[in-house]
Amino acid sequence: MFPIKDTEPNRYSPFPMMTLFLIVINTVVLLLEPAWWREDHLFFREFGSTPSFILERFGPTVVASLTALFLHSGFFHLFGNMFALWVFGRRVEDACGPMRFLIFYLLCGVSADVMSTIVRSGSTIPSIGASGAVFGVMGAYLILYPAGRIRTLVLVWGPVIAWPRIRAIWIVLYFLGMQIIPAIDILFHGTEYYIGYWAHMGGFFASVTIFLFLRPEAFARYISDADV
Amino acid sequence: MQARALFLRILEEQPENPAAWYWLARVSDDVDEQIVALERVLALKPHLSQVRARLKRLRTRQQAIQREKAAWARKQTSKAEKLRKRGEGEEATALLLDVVEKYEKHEKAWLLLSELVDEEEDRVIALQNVLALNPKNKAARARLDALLHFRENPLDLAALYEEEGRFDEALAIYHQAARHAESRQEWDTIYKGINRLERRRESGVRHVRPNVSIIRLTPGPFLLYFLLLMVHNGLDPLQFTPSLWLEGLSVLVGGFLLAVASVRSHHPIWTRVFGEPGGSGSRLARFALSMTGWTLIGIAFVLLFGASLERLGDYSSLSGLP
Repeated sequence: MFPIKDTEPNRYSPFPMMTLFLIVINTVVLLLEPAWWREDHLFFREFGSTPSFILERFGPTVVASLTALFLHSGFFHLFGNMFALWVFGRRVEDACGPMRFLIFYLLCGVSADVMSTIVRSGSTIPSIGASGAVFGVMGAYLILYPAGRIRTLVLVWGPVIAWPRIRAIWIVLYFLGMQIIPAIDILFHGTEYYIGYWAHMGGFFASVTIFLFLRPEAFARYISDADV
Repeated sequence: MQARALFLRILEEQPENPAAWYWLARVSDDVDEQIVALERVLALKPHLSQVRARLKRLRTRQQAIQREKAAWARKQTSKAEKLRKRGEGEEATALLLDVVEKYEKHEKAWLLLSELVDEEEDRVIALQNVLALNPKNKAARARLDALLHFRENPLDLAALYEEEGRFDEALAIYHQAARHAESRQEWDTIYKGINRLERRRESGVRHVRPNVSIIRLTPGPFLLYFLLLMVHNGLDPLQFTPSLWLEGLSVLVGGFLLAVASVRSHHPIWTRVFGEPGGSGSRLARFALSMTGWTLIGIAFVLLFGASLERLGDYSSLSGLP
């Protein structure tokens, strides 16, 4: 299942400036990454977020916690995150305004990092990627537009594909469901995965703070059960 | 009364006639008029000691009458205040109109009246009377300035009404403004406002008070800062130094200023800091306030990043790590 497009129009602003800006920044950073790599492989240690470093207050952890949000390990990693950001971020940004959306996005990203640090406390493996923040945006989308319809690419069987419009609640729950089993495995068995499942959960939980960032009119609409 | 009219006619022709002034004072029933007439007599014939003594008595009597009137006005005004609290606005207005008609020097009656009358022009007159009696009344001055500002800028008032949830009043102003629009562009802007308000009313959107919006929007940046502080201090809030808390306070204040700048309300900042008569923030004032907010937030984040980057040297000892 791959969400392609949110089919509903914007209400408050015609263009998702900040969403697009974040996508551009992430892409530019990925293109520049090879130039920053060094022989001692310290680049990801310096600018990725490492749980044991945070707990030991070792290195520039605050800076790393933010820069890690803009680092990706390759094209597919970036593509998956940025596509989801585009699909879900456009209308969340519309409901918040660009600057408040940026703060919300960073807040979800840092929450993801904090959650990941708590669960993987002894780990010296740095984590990178915007997926925690993107899960926060998806959570906010679920809160604001649970009945929103997303055009989704579904692999039915082998080469047979379909692209129905699916309610946001099913898509977000599907992606959240995919995190739960590995997250439990990490929690109880300490298994190391290459994917930050708990970071995704942390970002998703942080999405409840969306109410602190909504435009006044969007908030009034939300509490009035009107379309946000 | 015929004698009074006769003396007034004589004085129109002979304003310097002391006898006519004296007899006007004798036939008049009004103490104030008697005092004015005798003052004129003394101005023309200063040596008349009997007139001077009579004037003194009249002044004492005038003061007593004024005290009685003031006490009566106070009593009636407090009665009107109680009526207003009970929601009986029309009765309160009638009572206050009676007060100011009989004793126009009662400041509080005018002030209360300015809050009760429906017509904008009447509000302006009432507030002007308050200020004539007490030019130092800041609240009345601010309200009068706001009224005069909104008279010149009705769309500002419409926006304020909209923010306060008074959609019908806002729509009435927009419709009136649309009739007087001077350009296509202005008409388009007004029409958008009308559309937005009508859609909002049709959807049954509840009103959220501006102060609630300000409280809701304030903690967002601080929350991000707090999480970063946690990261900086190994997720241990006991490690926070006082200076970090102070920077956190700066973020909180910055967040508050940003929230005020993004919500149109009658916040005291607009009148106290920017001296704005409309009291709801012009575009320039909002820009200045939001820039101040961003600066306060930015300073705290830059200091935190600086403190974080100071630890970059730790990586020189990394070679031994897995």
